[in-house]
Amino acid sequence: MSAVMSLLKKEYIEHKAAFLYVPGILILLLLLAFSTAVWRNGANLHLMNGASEMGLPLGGIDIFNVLYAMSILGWTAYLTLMLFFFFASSFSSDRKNNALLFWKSLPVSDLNIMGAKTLAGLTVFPIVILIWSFVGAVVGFVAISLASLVSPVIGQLNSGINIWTTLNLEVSAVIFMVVTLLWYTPLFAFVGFLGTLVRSWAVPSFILILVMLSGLEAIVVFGDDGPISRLLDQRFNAPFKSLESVMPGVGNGMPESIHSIVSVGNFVPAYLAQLDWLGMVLGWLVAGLFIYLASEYRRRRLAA
Amino acid sequence: MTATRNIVEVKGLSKKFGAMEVLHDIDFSIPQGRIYGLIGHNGAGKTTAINALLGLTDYQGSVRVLGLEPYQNRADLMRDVAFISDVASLPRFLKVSELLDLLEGIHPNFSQSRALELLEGTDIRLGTTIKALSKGMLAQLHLATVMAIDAKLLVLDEPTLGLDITFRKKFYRRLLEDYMNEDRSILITTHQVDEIEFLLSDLIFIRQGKIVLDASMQDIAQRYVQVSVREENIEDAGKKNPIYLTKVLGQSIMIFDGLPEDEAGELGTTATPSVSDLFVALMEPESAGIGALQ
Repeated sequence: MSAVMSLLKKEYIEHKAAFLYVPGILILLLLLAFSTAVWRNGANLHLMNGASEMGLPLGGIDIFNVLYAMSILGWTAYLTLMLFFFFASSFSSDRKNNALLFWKSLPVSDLNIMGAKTLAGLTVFPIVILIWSFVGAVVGFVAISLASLVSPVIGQLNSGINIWTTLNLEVSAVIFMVVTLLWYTPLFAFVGFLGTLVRSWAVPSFILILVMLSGLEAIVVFGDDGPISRLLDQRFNAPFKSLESVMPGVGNGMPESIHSIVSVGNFVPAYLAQLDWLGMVLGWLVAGLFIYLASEYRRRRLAA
Repeated sequence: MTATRNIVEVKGLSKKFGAMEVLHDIDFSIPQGRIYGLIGHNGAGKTTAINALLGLTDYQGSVRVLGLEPYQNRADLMRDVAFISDVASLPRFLKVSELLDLLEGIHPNFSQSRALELLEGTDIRLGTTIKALSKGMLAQLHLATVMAIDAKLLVLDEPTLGLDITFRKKFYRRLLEDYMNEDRSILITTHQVDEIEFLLSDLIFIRQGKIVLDASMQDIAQRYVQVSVREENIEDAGKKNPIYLTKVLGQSIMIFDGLPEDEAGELGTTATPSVSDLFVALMEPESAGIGALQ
């Protein structure tokens, strides 16, 4: 096992609770809630009302894939949030654990350790969450299929299921998650850098700095459309704006034909074409700078 | 006789924290195959000096460890240097087996099988989480991991702090029997100087950031002499400038620096002073009892 793989494994062991255990608990809770809804017959009523309000026919909708598509957005949001806290915490976790001197006794530079933390955040944990999203899909498929047997409305809604759509959805989900994480990398690196400086105050500091920057700018330019505000707005919202622009149904309730918009051949080129690739590359350079600065600060630290 | 090279070479090492200078232009070297004791009071500069050797802090002056400048080359240096600065620094969220696996992956000179051999006979189980280990077990585990590294220099900064006497004795005996060989050097700091005296080949006393003594135990035995002075010789002995005076069970004990053996023998029974007595004599002259003679 190489040094990098060992360091990735260390990060996985240290932070696996948020990525390995909590998603499993969430899936169990959702399954329990769904089972309770079916058992109480509430699911029939809500689905009938929901389909009626959206003007959808009760049948041939492929409810499974629609719910799976929505769950992917949920998993992406969960992953992004957890990674934000992972970066805020992991860059200073060796100091908090009083283990800094142990890691410094090993033939690995501080930059390599910080790089391994970043790599773990952008590879190991997203893979774990993707696996959970697939597990959730299988569990959801089984649950909906079983519920179809006892619930007439679910049975009607589930009649149009299309496995080919599911496969397209999975590939599109991977592309969407990867692009989202790469776009947010400078924000992760920034909160990680703050974590090395102020440890548990990283998240409040992150919020305070960004709010103050845009607030001060708003005072100076007497408005909210200054370059900093625009930059932050773009950095926070671009992946979802790009998604909306190629999947108009996302922002407007349940799409009627999910297959047409999640088809890999349609979605991936359209989505990638919407992205600001210059902003992406500049973001990575900024992220690299923050990681380097964090490693240099860590190099100068001896203890908590 | 084979020539030994210096593992550590320090020239003009100084270190400031703000306006306060804690190391003042110190020089020393550590040849291959030696066990050095770096002894001093709290705040004397021992840990700062060690941190400079390990590349953990910047400094002024010249430091070379295995030919490398430590601060810019810490990661490379750690292939051949092992250290324990704090036995409580093992990552507590890992299981023992996970720790050994990680070390095997990260450290090219770490041998997991050697670590497992060293852990045989202890109460440490591989499936135990490190945070569940007692302080003694933590020290045993940390020592086993560093002893499983094929290093050229081992640095131990207060490795047995807070541990009981039985464990401390075992710790040092094992270090000598299972680890030390002519290719390796060890640098130890501790407050329990008497406990490491038997394993030291050389001694450095540091006081207020300056080296007060840097000598081999052999040279110390030749240079310093402890005399249990006969009653009738006390006045004569006092005129020969003892550096240390104490009374044990009514018997006057004095330590002399550079007193010829025959002259010392005329004053009473001679012996080599213990490290702790020499420490008091050289580091705390004001409490070395010399005033009683004046």
